[in-house]
Amino acid sequence: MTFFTSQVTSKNTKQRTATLLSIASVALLAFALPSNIQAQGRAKTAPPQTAKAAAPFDPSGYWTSIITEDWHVRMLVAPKGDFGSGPDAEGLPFGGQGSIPYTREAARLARAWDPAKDEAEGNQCKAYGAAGIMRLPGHLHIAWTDDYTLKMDIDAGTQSRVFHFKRPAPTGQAATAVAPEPVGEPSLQGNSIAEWVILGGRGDWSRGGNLKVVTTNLKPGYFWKNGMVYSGRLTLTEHFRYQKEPNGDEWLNFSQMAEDPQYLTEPWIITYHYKKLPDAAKWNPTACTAR
Amino acid sequence: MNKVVLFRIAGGLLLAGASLRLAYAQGQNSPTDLSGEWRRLTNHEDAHERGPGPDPGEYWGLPLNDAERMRADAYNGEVLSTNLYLQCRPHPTGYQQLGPDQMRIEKEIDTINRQLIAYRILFQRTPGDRMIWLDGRDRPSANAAHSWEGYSLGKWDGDTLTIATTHLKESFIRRNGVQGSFRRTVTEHVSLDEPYLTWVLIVNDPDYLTEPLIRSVTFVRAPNLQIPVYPCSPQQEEYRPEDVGKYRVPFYLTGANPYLTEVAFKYKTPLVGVRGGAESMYPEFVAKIKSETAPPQQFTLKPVYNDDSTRIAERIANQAAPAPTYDKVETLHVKGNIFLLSGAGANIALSVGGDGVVMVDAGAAQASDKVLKAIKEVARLPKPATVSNSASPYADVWQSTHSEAPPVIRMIIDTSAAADHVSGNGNIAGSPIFHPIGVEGGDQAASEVILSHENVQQTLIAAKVPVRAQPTNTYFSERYRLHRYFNNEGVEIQYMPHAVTDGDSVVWFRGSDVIATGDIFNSDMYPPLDIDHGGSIQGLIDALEKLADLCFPEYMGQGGTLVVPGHGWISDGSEVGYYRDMMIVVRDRVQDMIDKKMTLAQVKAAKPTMDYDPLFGRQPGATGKFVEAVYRSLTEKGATEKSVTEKKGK
Repeated sequence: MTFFTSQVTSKNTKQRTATLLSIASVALLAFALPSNIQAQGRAKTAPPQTAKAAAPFDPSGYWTSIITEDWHVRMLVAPKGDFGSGPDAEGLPFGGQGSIPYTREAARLARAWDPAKDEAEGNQCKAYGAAGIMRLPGHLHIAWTDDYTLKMDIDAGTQSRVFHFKRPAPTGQAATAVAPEPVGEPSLQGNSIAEWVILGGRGDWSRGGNLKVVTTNLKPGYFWKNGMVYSGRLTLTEHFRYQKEPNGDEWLNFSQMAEDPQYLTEPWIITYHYKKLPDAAKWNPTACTAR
Repeated sequence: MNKVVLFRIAGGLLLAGASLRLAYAQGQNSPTDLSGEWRRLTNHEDAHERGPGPDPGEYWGLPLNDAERMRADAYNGEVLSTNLYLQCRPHPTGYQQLGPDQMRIEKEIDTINRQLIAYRILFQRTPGDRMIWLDGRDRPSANAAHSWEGYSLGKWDGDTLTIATTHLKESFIRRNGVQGSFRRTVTEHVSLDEPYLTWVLIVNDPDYLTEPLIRSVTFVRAPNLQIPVYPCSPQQEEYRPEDVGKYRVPFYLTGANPYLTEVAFKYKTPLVGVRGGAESMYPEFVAKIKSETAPPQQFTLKPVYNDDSTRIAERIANQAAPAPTYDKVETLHVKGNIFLLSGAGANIALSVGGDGVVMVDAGAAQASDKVLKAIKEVARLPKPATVSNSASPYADVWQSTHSEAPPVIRMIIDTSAAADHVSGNGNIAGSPIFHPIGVEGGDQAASEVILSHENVQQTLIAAKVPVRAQPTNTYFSERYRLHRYFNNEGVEIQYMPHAVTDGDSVVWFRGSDVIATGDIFNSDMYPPLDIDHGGSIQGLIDALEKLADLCFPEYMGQGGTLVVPGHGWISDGSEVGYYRDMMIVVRDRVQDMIDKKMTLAQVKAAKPTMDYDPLFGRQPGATGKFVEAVYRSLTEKGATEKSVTEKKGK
């Protein structure tokens, strides 16, 4: 009996120990977790915010490209073989390789650019795919088409890119968010999955964040209009950031990282700058041109 | 396990949790950590410009105005061989990240509370660490020194660090002579998407750009990357035997640069494209380029400059100069014993120490009360305690260091006879705190009261200024050294003959390594070149050359010897060097016009200073007077000597 009692006592003590330790552990976790992680946890029980509502900045509106870099290969159609170092750059000790970290094969193909052939084959838009169009002189019109879809119309070549945010799963399905658009045939603008990257935290940096867009499933195209090729294996990662300057200028600055295992020797990263326009007055849709 | 033990364990865990939370909260000192070594992704953009460098005349994509265009058109890269201050000049803020250097970012931590208070950025070609202050401090005075890297305050905006930089030296925006003004500011947005760091640079230049210039570059983390030193030691390089030993500024006269069209020919681009301007940044410009053709061959461009920036001097030529208010008298430490007292007419340099105060110039008479008040304040700065032999050091030392004699002004040195420099002489000399060496009005050989070059004294006597305001002591030789160390350093006064006038002096505080220049050098205005009082453009150039040579830069052409200009902010040898080069360019342009038999009116109409006017020509009437003085200096042969002879004959 004593033995039994002692066993019972021991069992009760273990239960109490386990209970207390569990409470303490939960408390420890609660205290230790960063507030933004806690907030994510709470978000599971609270009604989920839509992508539009969660936006740290509103990208919608009209924007114009501001071209201060790579000017001669963006404002003009650079001569064949000009990779950014000028037409006579081959053999130069510096810069002769141009701006794009190309493989030899890519360079060979670029030097074989034939715009007449592109025109004959109806491929005038090869430089207007997602990996090339942002560097062309032009304007953007960005708008939410629904709470989870951001559409970017581009007047150069009259193109549209569509950024899909993950949506909450329909009732009764698995709780994980899903991308809505089925992946179809490769296209000029590919499939773009978007998300807001918000670090959270405290103080001045609690606000803000950037829009990350990853684009795949692209048809092969041109980085530059002078036939600088990219393959269908290209993955494009973009980070869009908004800044408002003291003089009132509003900028959409974004970096674009191209990873092409077929034609690039390393990720190629460049940054583009678009300035906010007050209205659609400058909007000027044009057709694609091959030269 | 008993209850007490259990509760202790649970309590311990709770405490540990709380501590972890606290540690996390305090450790989250910035949203991202930018520190580390960074490799620039070389040439992913603008390979041609960032690598070998832009071509002459390549201004595409730059929102520059005509004044800037004229400045850049005149640029000859050979100047880097002759101007020793430019030879080791680093890339300035607003361009630095676009250059070829790798980068290190370090954290500056407050040692008391261990919070991040600044980022410290180092490139191979930076004279020192560039500090990005994050602790909410204020900007320094407008009279504070400028530097290649400027003064930068940072603030997090979401996941982006925004940096605002002021106090920049004049330097380039593009490496083909497109200059950035000393009034420009730079805004940077730095964001990290591991392992890539994106750096957006926006240059705002009220003098040379019509719109902000935005550019960017990307770095990738490169742990343990070595940032090498840059032991650049400038050497005067002259390839022509006839130039050895002479200082010259290679540049192109307007319409004489044969290389401005090279880039248009090379890239088969219409000239309207390569000449740049804000419109060249916008998509609508494509139509304009397509409507024109590229030049079939290289030729010498005869540019026309006529936008708004070319009329800065005209617009204010006939405006009345605003009445001086003297409501912003400010004292700023320069270096060693020396302080700048500004806002009281011309700048006043003060040597402050145990021997009292020596003033270089006395400022305007109307500001004397404020000058005296400022001197009393600056002279009360803490002094080191002396060691006492007393049995009770406490009483002696404490009392002697916590009570003080009234501040004492010992001497005034006049750099010229200009009223904004010396009209305060009488008020200062008559103030109760003026206790000069020797007795005012007594034996001049036994006193040093108000000292100047003898020509200044002659000018002031001729102008019938009150006796009390006239120099009591003069010198006539190339240099004059105070008879004793003052505030533990030698003070040397050097005569600069026939520069702004015939009586200009600069004062060199040798221990503090500071030179007060008077009107020989002004950081943001043309010199008041006075031909009627013995000034000459060549004398001024010689004086600036001597001054530039006297300055010993600390590293990469900046720092070291500091300069208190006649007007403007604390400067150094590089700014004197720029100023000297400008004088040479203006002299040669005016001489070229004289050689073409142009009259003074025609020279003025041709605007030989147009590219410098946004920087230095913002005082009503000053540009016209300066151009006229240069013209007269070059045409009225013997005018200078005549002026001196006449004065001495009086």
